[in-house]
Amino acid sequence: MIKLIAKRFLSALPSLIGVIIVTFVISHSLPGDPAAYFAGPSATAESIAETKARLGLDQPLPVQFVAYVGDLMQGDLGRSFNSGQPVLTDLIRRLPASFELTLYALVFAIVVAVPLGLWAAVNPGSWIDHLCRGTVTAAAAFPSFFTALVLIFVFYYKLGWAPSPIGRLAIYFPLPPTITGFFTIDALIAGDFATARAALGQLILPAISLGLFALAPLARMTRASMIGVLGSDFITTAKAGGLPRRTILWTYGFRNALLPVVNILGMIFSFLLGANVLIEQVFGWPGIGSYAVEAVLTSDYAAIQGFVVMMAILYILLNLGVDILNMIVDPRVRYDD
Amino acid sequence: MTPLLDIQNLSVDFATRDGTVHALENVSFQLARGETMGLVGESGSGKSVSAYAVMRLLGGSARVRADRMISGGVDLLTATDAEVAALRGKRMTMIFQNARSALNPIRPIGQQIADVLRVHRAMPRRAAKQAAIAALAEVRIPDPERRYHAYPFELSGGMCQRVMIALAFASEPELLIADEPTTGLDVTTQAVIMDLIREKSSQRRMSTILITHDLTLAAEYCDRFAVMHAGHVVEQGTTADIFERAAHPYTGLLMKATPHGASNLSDLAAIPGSLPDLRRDLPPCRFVHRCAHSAPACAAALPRVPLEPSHEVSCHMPWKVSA
Ligand SMILES: Nc1ncnc2c1ncn2[C@@H]1O[C@H](COP(=O)(O)OP(=O)(O)O)[C@@H](O)[C@H]1O
Ligand SMILES: [Mg+2]
Repeated sequence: MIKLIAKRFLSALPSLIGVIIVTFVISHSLPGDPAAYFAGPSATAESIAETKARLGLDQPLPVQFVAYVGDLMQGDLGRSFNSGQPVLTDLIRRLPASFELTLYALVFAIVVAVPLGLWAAVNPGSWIDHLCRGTVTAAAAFPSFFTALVLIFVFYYKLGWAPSPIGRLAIYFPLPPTITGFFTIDALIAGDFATARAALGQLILPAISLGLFALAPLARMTRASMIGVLGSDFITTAKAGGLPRRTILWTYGFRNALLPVVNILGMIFSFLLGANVLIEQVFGWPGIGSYAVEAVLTSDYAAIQGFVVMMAILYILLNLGVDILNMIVDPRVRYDD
Repeated sequence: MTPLLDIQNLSVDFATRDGTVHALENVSFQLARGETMGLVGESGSGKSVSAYAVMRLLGGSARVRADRMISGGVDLLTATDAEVAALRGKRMTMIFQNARSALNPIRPIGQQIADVLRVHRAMPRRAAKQAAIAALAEVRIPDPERRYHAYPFELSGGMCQRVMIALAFASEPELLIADEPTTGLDVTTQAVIMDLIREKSSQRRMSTILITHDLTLAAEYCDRFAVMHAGHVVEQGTTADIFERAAHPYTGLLMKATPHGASNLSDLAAIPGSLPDLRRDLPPCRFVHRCAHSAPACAAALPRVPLEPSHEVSCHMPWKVSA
């Protein structure tokens, strides 16, 4: 099992290297001159050149690349022009915000999509099946930021049910002590239920806007998988053996149907992390998505590269996590070589 | 004595995108307690559909009609889904050709047997586990305690089929339908599996329907035969009736296609033509286009001709079997 994990990890390395090269090239061909930006509006040609030299931007690209990779090896993602902080520090500080949001979005999507898909699969062609297809298509049809704006308009502006969509916690709540970095969990650990509630309140709308996005692939996958499983030979055996419908659907059907769903969870999670970029912007969420947008708008090379490289690493780690999950739920994977 | 299974004029149609498949038409047979009947015929002749119809396992696209369909005193035509579900396992059960795919791939095999035991013998978890291990031992799976925890992919095809047999017999059913239980296994394993089925079913005086390609193998284990072609039972009788006094041209060709002690029906060079397309309008005798003895009379409705009390043929020109 350890061997298998190591193998999966090694097989991901080439793609990681590819990502590093591509991001380096792309971010250096972005329009905009960071040196000019940094030297300020009153800069002279001379002071810009000086800034360039200080940042190493006057070197030829290959030299810059080698220096960059060398730094990467030491965990140095460079310094952000915007914040003046090391990119790694910025990212680590902002990551929990994005993770918390994404996780809640994923949980929302799973809680809605999996039962919907199962229900549709068990009653194919019924109204619930059509409803499933309809909802899922509708949820996928609208861009997530649009959904977000509609939700804000309805639940904050019109109904006043949701708190104002700015950030993770309204300012009059104390920040919970950092343990996991998830405000809801940290506040609960600290026994501060009011803060936990408030943090959860802030999460609901962005998590739903984001989660709606994952509804379609999850529900569709669950439905297709369950229909496939219910049509398979071993379900016929279970029926022929007279097992009760409950056992057939849950123990024999659902658990097998879950395997491909678990398989795409990693993909969906990283897909959501990516979709975060817009949602965080709309909700003033201090995560890595808004950080990346800012970085792109200001040609903050180091921050862009750092963001993409981190996403690539996260993606690899997530898929590794999914592989491990897979080994736990599917005995056949454990023995695969 | 009333038969355990009594099927009269069973017809099954499937609604498909390319039209209605007339898979079975007026299939009739009876099975007495303790009897083993072979159901033979080319691939696609409707053997599995017959079995699934008896188990009421056909999907929603199937339209099933019959004059009578009684299993163990229960009318399968009027029984509710719940009543049929209660029959399955306990009264009738089925084992399948591909045992590996017929077992849940991510559940230990012992637990799958225990699942059945807990339902039918109302056993608590602990006792069910012990009984499942005993059931594995009974089908002579070595080291049953350890194998209890094995998954199907860890076992050979023959071992999986033994597990299937243990599973089928766990609930002590009265009727076993074995759908090509040995196809795909090597010859030695085939004999072992068949002996196992015979041993278990005779111990319990169970009735068995053995669906097979392999006439030679089946002759050794079956009391009676029903020969199917394109959704019809063309002939049925005792093993001697079928093997020595075959009356239907198709049965004769089947015999010729399976020379003594030789292979099976997969190389059916001796039978001319192929099964008719079951989606078309079919002639009364579905064999007429392949038959060397067809005559104008064959266009009339298909008769059921009793030759002896045990022997019946659906043919206008019986006994024309070319020797
Ligand atoms: N679910 C189904 N839908 C449509 N046609 C079917 C279905 N199941 C079986 N058939 C058709 O019924 C005929 C008999 O099939 P089957 O009973 O499986 O043959 P076999 O004698 O080889 O077991 C075949 O022509 C097959 O294509
Ligand atoms: Mg078949």
